[in-house]
Amino acid sequence: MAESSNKKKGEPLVAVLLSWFLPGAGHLYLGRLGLGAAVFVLVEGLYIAGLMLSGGRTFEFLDPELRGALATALTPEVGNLGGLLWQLKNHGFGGPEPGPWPPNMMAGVWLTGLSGMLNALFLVHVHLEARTPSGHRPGGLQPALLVGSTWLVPGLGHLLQGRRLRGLVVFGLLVGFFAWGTWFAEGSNLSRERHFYYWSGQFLVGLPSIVTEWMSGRPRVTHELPWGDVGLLFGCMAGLLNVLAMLDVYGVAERRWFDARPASATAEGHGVAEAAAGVGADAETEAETVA
Amino acid sequence: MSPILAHILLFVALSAAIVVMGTFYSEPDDAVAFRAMPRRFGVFLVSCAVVAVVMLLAEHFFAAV
Repeated sequence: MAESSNKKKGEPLVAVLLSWFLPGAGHLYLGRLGLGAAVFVLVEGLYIAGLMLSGGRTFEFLDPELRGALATALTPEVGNLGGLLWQLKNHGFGGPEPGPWPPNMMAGVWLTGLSGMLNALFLVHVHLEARTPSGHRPGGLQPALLVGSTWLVPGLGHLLQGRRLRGLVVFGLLVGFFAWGTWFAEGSNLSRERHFYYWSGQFLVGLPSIVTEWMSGRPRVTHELPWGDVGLLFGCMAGLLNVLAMLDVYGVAERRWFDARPASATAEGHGVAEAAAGVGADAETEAETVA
Repeated sequence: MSPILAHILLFVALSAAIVVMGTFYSEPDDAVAFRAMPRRFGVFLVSCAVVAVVMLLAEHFFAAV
């Protein structure tokens, strides 16, 4: 009985690859039919809505010399690989003659980017789901939720984990650097059209970058920006460093998830934590940080 | 303030952010992380300075026109 309950639900890598190409497919593979269908509808719905609003012209932002399939790999859309490939096949990089952007172009590119980020979070979820043995009673909050919180608001995931000091430091540092960079660049960094790749890094700051761009993005540049490059770098670095924050949150969340006592643990002590020991082999050497 | 000094100061500020986040990533315990930061910061700055000197020397001897 204990042995059967300690089995993984499926191969994590298979589940992740399936979901990467077709959102929700990994959950279907693990037998989570309802969740898989919901993920598919949500992620692909966002992508399709984004394509409709932008006319699929996101990659026309790229300079002609940068246009190539690999050039799109450094975008948030890559989190939804199936959608990205579909867009490349059907819309590519546009025609030879540039035309005016659709009126809701920016909302469209936000939605496709959001679809990619959201699917990346579901990849985290499905990978963990595949490794969680049946009958295991997980500890702590769902790691994918915490990672998503950290993306949305740097430091929020730490706060939800009870790591208040770290959360405040992360928030102040990353949001501060993003704000500082925006000030240096005089808001010119808040444009995917103008700074395609820097924007992708900046998007990883989450809500601060989305809200700021929504409120005051794409300003008209009428003079030389002496600190424009510094601003771009700071904004982009804030987003990239938030990836480290997400990984930090995930590491602790994953350990708590598997360290909790299994509901079906036997008297002999064959707990699920042992079954999932490969997850965090170094966990014992690290100090517990429960506040 | 001269541009070179301003850029160095901005680089130091960004380095601090990189070191703080890198230390947080590698060390889950706050107290241990904060203790480790000064040394990591020093190592990071010295390493970057070494790389900068090597690049300047390479430029001077091999690429200068």
